[in-house]
Amino acid sequence: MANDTVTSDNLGDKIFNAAKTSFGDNYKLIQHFLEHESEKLAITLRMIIQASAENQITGAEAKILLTQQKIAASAILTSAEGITAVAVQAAIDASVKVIRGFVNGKIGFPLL
Amino acid sequence: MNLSTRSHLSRLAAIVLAVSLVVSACTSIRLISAYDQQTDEALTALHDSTDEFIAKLIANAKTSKNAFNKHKNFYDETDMQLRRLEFRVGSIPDNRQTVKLVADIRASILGEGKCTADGGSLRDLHCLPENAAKGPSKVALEISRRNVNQTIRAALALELAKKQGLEPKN
Repeated sequence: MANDTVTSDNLGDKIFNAAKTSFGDNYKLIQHFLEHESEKLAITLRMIIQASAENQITGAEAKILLTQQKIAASAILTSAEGITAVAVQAAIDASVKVIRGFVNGKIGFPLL
Repeated sequence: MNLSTRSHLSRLAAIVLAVSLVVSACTSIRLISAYDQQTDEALTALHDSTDEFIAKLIANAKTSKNAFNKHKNFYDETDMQLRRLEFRVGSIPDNRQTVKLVADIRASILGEGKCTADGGSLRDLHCLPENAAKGPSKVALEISRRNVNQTIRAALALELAKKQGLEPKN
């Protein structure tokens, strides 16, 4: 059974493990999001190429659709950047939570 | 665990502790804004209205029902929706990513109204001289629908991540 008590000796490990666990879980979500959205981009790109080759869309339409797809790709990366910031914030919050009782107890007032 | 690994671990823990203490001591510091319900609702409404609009265009593809002049209202109303949303997200601190995502949505649906191949929006596709009378082809609309939906969903995904990730978990 894991020792949940925070002490001066294990303080660093407790903080690190809380941050690692929190960020690790969220990192999997970010990875899944990027994989899923990249596959959608690939499907759309294949649709543009095929429609263009079969003359189902004009050259002007193809050019506009490609530019529009670049915007979508940029949006996905921006979203992933934001979700990563959320994950880092959550890791920081988790590490503070695990040591809150110990630090406040030692100091004698609610610092954290 | 060898001495070197242990040393790295301790150093990393010290950094995490320092960042944690600074962030918690200055509770106003945030890496990213908190979840905003109004942004979430506005993005969802924008997605619904745009998707419904493109679905109707697809159903009437290449007929006079899709003439650009008959659908200017949609673009004007979307412009107003986006203006309200831009004001909202621009007023929230630490909201850089969402501000950029809303700008992407504007670029994807409205663009600059160039009506040429140099554009990159649904409106550009619709108001191209060759499409003005009967609208874009069905295939072009289906591809544009995917692009627009993916852009709006990227913004929604971030807003929902803020909701799930930044709420205290007990």
